[in-house]
Amino acid sequence: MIRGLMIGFIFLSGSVFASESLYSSSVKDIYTSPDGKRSEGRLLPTSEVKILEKKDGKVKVEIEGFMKDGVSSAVYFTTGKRILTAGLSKKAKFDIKVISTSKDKDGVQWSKVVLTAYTTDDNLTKDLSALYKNAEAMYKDNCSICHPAHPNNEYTSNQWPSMIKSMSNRTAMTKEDVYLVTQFLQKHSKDIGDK
Amino acid sequence: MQNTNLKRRNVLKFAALFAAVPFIDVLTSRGELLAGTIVKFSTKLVQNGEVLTAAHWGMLKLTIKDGVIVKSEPYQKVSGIENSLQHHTQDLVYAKDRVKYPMVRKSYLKDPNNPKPELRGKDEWVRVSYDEAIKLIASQLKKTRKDKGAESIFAGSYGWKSSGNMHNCRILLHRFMTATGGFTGTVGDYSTGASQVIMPHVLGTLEVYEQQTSWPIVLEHSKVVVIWGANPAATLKIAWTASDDYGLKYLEELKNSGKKIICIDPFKTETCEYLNAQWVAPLPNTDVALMIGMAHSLIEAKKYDKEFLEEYTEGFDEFKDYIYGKKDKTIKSAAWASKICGIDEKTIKELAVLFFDNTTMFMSGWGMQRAHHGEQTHWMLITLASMLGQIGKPGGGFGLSYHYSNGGVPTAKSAIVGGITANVTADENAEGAEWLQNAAKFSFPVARVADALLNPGKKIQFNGKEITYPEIDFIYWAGGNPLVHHQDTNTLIKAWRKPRTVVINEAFWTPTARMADIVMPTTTSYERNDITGTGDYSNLNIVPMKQAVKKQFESRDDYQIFSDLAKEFGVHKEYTQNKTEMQWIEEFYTKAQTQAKAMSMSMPNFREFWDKNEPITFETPYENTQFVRYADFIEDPILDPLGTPSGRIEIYSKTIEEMNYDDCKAHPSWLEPAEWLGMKKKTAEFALITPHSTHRLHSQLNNTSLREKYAVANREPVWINTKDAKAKGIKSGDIVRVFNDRGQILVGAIVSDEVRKSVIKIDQGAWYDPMQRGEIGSLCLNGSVNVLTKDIPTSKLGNGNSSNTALVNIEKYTKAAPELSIFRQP
Repeated sequence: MIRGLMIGFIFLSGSVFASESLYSSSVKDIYTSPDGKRSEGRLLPTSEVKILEKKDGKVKVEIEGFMKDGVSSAVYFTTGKRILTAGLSKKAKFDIKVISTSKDKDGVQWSKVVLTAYTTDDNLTKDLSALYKNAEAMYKDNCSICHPAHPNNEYTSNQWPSMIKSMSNRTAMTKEDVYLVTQFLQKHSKDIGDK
Repeated sequence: MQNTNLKRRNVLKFAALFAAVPFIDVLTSRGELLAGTIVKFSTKLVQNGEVLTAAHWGMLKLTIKDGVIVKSEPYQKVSGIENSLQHHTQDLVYAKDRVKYPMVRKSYLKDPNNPKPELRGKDEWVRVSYDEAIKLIASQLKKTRKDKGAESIFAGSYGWKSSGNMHNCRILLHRFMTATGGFTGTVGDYSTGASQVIMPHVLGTLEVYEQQTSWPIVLEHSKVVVIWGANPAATLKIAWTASDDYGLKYLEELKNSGKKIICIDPFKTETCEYLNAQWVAPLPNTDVALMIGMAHSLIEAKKYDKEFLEEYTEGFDEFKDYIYGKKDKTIKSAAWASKICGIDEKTIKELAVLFFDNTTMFMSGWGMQRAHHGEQTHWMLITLASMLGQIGKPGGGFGLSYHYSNGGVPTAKSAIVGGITANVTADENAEGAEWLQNAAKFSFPVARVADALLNPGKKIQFNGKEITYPEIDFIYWAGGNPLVHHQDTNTLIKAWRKPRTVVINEAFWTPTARMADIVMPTTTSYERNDITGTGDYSNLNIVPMKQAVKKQFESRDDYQIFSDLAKEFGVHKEYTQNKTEMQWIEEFYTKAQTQAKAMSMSMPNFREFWDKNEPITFETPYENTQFVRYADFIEDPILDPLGTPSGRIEIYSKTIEEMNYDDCKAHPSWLEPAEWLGMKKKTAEFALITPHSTHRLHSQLNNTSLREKYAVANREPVWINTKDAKAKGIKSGDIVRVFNDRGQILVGAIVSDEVRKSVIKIDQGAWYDPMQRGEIGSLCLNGSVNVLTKDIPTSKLGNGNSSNTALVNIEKYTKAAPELSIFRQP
């Protein structure tokens, strides 16, 4: 709890400049317009955003990612893996530009996209490694109470979310913590992180 | 209770201290200031009265008379099923074989550089002072780490340490080793070594340690319950944290439900007896063939769910080609299966159709995956369940954890108590920081320990990776008993002679403690304060584990031992964070309290909770009683995909195909085990199965009076089929020698039709008691079954243990059998 507050404090106190790259430190609501009220999508923690403009506590951001052919509600971190960058409401009409397309080894088509969205000017940080460090500590502190924590590269990016989902209710981690820890593990997994 | 005076004295002490420091906010600083005093305050012992504590076998009420435990009983009684493990706390605390003092092996003490490791187990013991022992361990650990690197320190320390989130000795050891510069650890465990590696490929998750479709749903919706290779009546007595007792209650409800229940097992378990179930007894190691025969029967009868297979699984067609022998020209029909597993063709077909026609729940245990090619068993079971098309539907599908830690008892809305962790900041200047980066590199699959000790530098395949064994020269073990739990004891003894140093923290003179160089006497969990949750899946209670009696002899808490060792390494502060036992416990409790607050639940403050000496019990919301495993996935396989590459159940795994292993193909298959009754040149006459004991937790409690309940001729019992016994001239009560080319043990005969012909059963966990101490090949007088089991990996994929793949011979023992000496002081 204290850790969460401290991070919030640090992020709030840092000022956000246009066109810099920042990382979400929590699950953040995203909107199609600057005055959006009802969440039209969710940005996952540790996702990179490019700040385009900043006004009245809202920021306009660009989110780069990959979309799978036939799945219109998810922007992924990379092709062929289920590491979610943003989940989008089915009705929402975001500005999504396709940069390029490619096929993965199973023949599924993926588009590299840039999504433009609005979000609140908070819980964004420059320091991705501090975010990861925090997530790693949370993972080890909570999981090594009952058993040695599994090395992050023991499981794949697809496997980690199921592992965490099934185990996390035996820990004191909040839902918010669980998203952060899962993203950390996925991005440092057997098939993504350093081997 | 006679603690009024003590209390008053402590109150006076508080007052005096506060008077001395008038400017400090007494309320907020009290914890830090009075660390020493708090220990005395909170460990005031009940001299006459009742104390609540907990063990793996549940919450216990201890009756104390004049400072001595005189009675141990269940704190609550929620079912009519007796848990035999709950009555023997006093036998543990006052055991004849307590380790009383720090002890060092004579040759080691004389010259640690030339310690004569071959004398382990038979050398004399020399009593040393506690300080001397700490200094000796510290100096030798430093030396080994400096000369041979962190990877030469083996501290995987596998085992069922006692309950409690504070005095978690295995984690405390890891914490110590992490803080001081690193160690080689292990991955996986002995329980589910094969399954927990293959399940992530098949279902995208561990599966074996996850919540099950809730019992109320099973009771309401299942028509047929199949208990496949499990004995929940025995194994539900325990849990990893502490049993919540409700698993047995639901087993009782299952009995009373009138459902069709089938137990598939070479042994007619007490579960089968209790539930009055139909007993189907395949030969050991042949369940996969039996299931494949059922799969073929379902296809032939056109009774399988094609839609389910198309929508939710990957690669059934490849598997079907295998069944019909597209490559090997063998059609794997019920007739084919019958020849392998010994179940008649008609029964195979009838069972398959029964499962399809009715809502059927497969409850599978883990014993059958503790066998050569054990990966195939649960993979095939899930394939069969997929063909039935009932996964994710109320009362159907499969569960791999109903027999364990109260799986299926609905999860309460609860707060989770914290615990000591291995995550401690290492000294940035030491090699420790660097080691942390490489920690994973040295780890190897836990059941390969003897192989690793014997073959430093050897490369093995493990789940698509290559692993190189480190050269191990120092072993530190706390809370485990490898000389009993590891397969092929004689090979282990040979391996155990490799390292220069072996240190063991133990409360008892276990077979493992006897094979050490330095033994540190530890408290049992009844001689220290602790806290635990109960019900690994239900999270039902938080229990105070109040110290019941004073620490026996010179025993110390593991926390004390590692704190003192940390001091020798200059990391006492990092290790302890300057916290006492009670301060840690309060912190762990407060973590739960904070979480409860966020969920709008109220929990008393710590002192109130602690003084009350009662568990906190959480409510179970109705929706959790309605939990159906995999319902999300079945409802929306696109938005709730599994963690597999395809997002579906992988009957065919391309990932495994790419590994190109000869002992684990890309789909479930029947692979002949290294030793079994159907092999061409049988190495011995009988198949041996080694299940979990009904009256122990592995090897725990073997040194209590509970043993009188089950020992035959004062040895571990062996179950022998009536016909086999007759042929060998063996009667119930006889002493029997069981042997093969790996070793020999003495056991006491129970002649019975409850075990299939040509199969014998000896429960694992009897303490190894060699007639010639420390000698390889010695006769074990107490019947430790792992003397006979085979130390081979399940496959290159899982590298689990294969403790149920063994052939043995039996004979009536006619010589005078020596008395046991393992349960006494050495």
